[in-house]
Amino acid sequence: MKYLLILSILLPLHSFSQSGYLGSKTNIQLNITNSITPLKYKGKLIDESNYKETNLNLNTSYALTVNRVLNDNIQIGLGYGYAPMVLFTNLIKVEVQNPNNPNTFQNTNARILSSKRVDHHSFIFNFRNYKHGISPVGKGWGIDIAYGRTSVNELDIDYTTGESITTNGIFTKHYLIENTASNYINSSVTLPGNLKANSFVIKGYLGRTIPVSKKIGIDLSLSIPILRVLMLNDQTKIAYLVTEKRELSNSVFNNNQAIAYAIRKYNGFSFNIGVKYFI
Amino acid sequence: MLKHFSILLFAVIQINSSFGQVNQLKNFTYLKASGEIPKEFLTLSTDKYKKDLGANKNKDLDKDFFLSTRFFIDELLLSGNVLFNDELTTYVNRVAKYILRREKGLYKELQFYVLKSNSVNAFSTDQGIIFVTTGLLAQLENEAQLAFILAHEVAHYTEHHVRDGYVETKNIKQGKGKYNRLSYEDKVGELSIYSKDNEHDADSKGIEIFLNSEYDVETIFSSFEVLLYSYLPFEDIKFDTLYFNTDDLIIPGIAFADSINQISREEDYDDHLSTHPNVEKRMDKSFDIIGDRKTKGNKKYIISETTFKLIRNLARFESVNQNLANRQYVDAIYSIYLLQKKFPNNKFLDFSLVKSLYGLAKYKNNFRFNEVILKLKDTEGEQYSLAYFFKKLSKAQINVIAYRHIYDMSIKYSDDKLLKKYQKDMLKELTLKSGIKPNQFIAIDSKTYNDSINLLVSSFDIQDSISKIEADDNLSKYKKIKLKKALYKLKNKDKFSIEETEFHLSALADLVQNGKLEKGMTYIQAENDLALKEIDDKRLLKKEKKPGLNIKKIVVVDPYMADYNLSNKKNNVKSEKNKIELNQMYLENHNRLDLETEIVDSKSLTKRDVDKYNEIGLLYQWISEILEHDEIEMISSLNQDMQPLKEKYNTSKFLFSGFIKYKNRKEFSSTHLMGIFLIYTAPIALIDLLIVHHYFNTFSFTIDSDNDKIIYTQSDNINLRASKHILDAYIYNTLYNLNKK
Repeated sequence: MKYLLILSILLPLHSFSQSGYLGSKTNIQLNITNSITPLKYKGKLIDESNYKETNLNLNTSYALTVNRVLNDNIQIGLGYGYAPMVLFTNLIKVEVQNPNNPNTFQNTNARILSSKRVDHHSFIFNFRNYKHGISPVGKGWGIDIAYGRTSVNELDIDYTTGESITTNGIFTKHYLIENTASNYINSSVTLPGNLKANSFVIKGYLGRTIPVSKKIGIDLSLSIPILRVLMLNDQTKIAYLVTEKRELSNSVFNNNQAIAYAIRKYNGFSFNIGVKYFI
Repeated sequence: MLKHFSILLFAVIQINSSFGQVNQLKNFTYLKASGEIPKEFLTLSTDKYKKDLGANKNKDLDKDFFLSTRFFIDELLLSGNVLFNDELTTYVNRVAKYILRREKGLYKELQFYVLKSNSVNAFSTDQGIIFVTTGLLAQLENEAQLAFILAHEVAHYTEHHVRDGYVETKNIKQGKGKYNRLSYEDKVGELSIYSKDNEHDADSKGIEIFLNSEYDVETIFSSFEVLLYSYLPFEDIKFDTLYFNTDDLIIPGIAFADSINQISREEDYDDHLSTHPNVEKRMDKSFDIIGDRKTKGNKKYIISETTFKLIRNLARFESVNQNLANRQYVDAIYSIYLLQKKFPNNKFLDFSLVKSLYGLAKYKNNFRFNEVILKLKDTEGEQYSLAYFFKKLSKAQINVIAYRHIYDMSIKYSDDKLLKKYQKDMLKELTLKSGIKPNQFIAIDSKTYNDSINLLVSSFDIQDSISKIEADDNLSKYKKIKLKKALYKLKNKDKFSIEETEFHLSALADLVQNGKLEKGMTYIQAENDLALKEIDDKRLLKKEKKPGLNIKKIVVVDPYMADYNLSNKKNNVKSEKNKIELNQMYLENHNRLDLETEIVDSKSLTKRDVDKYNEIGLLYQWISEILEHDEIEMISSLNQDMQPLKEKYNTSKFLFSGFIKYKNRKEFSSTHLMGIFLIYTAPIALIDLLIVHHYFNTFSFTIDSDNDKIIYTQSDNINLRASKHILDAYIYNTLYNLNKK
């Protein structure tokens, strides 16, 4: 409701408006953001076999914005963003039964098989300065400001301490160096929830909007994080200070850490593709 | 008795033809094409190029030849400056038909057109199009000379000089065959020799054609003489120093030069780097070729002497238009002076004089006088006297002379609104820029004033005055010296320069006497003061927001499109195709605007669009003149010719715009080097080096034909691929800016 209120203030700015693209001063943009977190990990699995993983992790989020041209160069917009965040994407430390001595437990690496996604919602304000005087098309730079919120109740995570399949892709590679493991454990754990995290993110935008018809434009861009502030249950952190905690735990603190890292990942350096509909 | 009757009849015919011409030239404005537009003008250059390339059997001619020639000639054909179906072209065609009467097939292959240009020239293309300029027609002495020049151009066509010249030029430039290892200077020399050989060849073949006619063979030699002195005005007659004088304006004789720069060009001028041999060589060779042979008659006219003279006069009148559009005001005045001897009280000439004087005053007031007046050392013949006169006049004097004549013309043509505009603007110049205050003007006419000064000068005793000055103790040494110098100067008044005389102060005596001048100047001064105050007030109140132009209808003039490839060469085929698409964009692009657009375009003409064709020529000339004036706000010499267009299109606003697309690869720079060293930016640096970068320039300006002012300009260099939609966006933006309130 409050978004609509702000939109209703923004949209009637007729007196400042200029021509827009072929007379369209307002446009709606659907954006897909892919932030990249390249990972490289080497470790030993529970059977002491070597494990190596490289992963060009793509963290995809979506945004829908309503934008308004203010003059030949400037466009501002308001919108809603959604990111179905994956908390853990690679190896984590788990405490499992020792296969050689079932009465004992030991810490070992496990690979995440699947985890429920955590919803991250955000309110977005954007500012664009187009270089060539024909906003909202052409090359430009800009600023995105997003205020986001994440809340988690309970979270199921499936993991394995072994790796039976070797895959090689362009962006993802994981394989066993010595495949001698004989006793893989596929398990599942439910993390306790009641976590809340708010975020305030400022990102820089560099890109271009290419008109492909009188009504549609494609927006290709890069986003560079400038400031990422995370407000976890009782503390505020600057995102650069948050590191990944690869450890499943029942502790709220550690899960907080995981969410914080996920928000950092989803608001990292990203390349974006969007579709603009000129109204 | 019969003899007397013949003389009488001849005299009557002469008087009638002169009278007819006077009448015909009475309403002259500018030369226009008429009738149906020839097919050659309507076919797309791309189609011509493809057709001619397909039919080509000469292996030495590559596609570049067809590309460059077809598109270049079409640019000329569609410039609006080529005349067809008018009196001049019809006459040229009649002469051509006569000299080729035995080669009807050849005549049918050829097309003859007249090109509106003051350059004295005729040229032919490999397609068989022969152009004759109005500048050449204005200089000719008789029809036979035109016939020989046409025969010469026909020979260029029949001997394939254009095609062979292209191949030879390419060989010389590439150093092929016998041109291997020549220095640059030698290559230029070879080009010149080859071109001169072609000219001799065309003279020789042209003579053969000409010898089959009944024209006087001697006119071959006089044609060369016409070309020799073609850089001079069409006549060389002493300028009358009383020409500008009126009842009140008496210009002292010292204003004009005692002597002139003599005509320097001789028949054997240095031609070693010229494309044409000098006249002496051409005459000698022609003499050898002709030998004892004669033509079949000794006529100077076969078609018609009367028509020739009319055609020549039309070309001469047009030369005044060309002078004005090219800001050659002194040349224009000299031509007007020559033409007024035969056509006194001709409205076109009267108006052209107004425009010339107005132009000179405007450029003088804006400190750009040297742009519109030739250097005296470069002016030869009798025109020197006129150039000298204007060069020596002060700013105040030029303004007064211009105002005097413009005022007198506005009385002579009292119903003419344009002259009222000139008069008002010239009064503004006189008030605000001439440096003369209203009270400085004298209420007695120049003659009385000059006589009284002369009387005073001759009657006073200089020695007595000097003694009085020397005896005056109240005067300082410095003051005494100054006064004594002034006295000696006054006594030796012949040594005065024209700038030091004050003839102009009494040149508006009648207007001083009836109070009109002071009233007008005071009003303009007050109006100007008020305008300046308003600007100051606005500045203080910070009322920066400018109102929009709120244009409801605009005429888009022949949008320009050029597409350059990676090697920086214009892709003519693509450019033509894109231009046609561009035209459509201007018409379609304004659904959301309260703006009507109409287009005057050279690529979408039909055979009935001759009016549009003439409009294109006029519009191009108009815009180029206004762009030359740059920041000088002045009435264009074509203002009155533009008014019918305003009425036809129901708007006074004309938009000139275009796009120039180009692309390049970036050169390796220190930024790239840094980028490569930083491992993360290396891919970006490499991509930046490898990809082709697209750019385009866009320009548009809108001119109001009511006041000849540029009311909107926009130009940009854009680093984007100029896709259809991007161009659309720019066009819309331009139209939006014109339309907004």
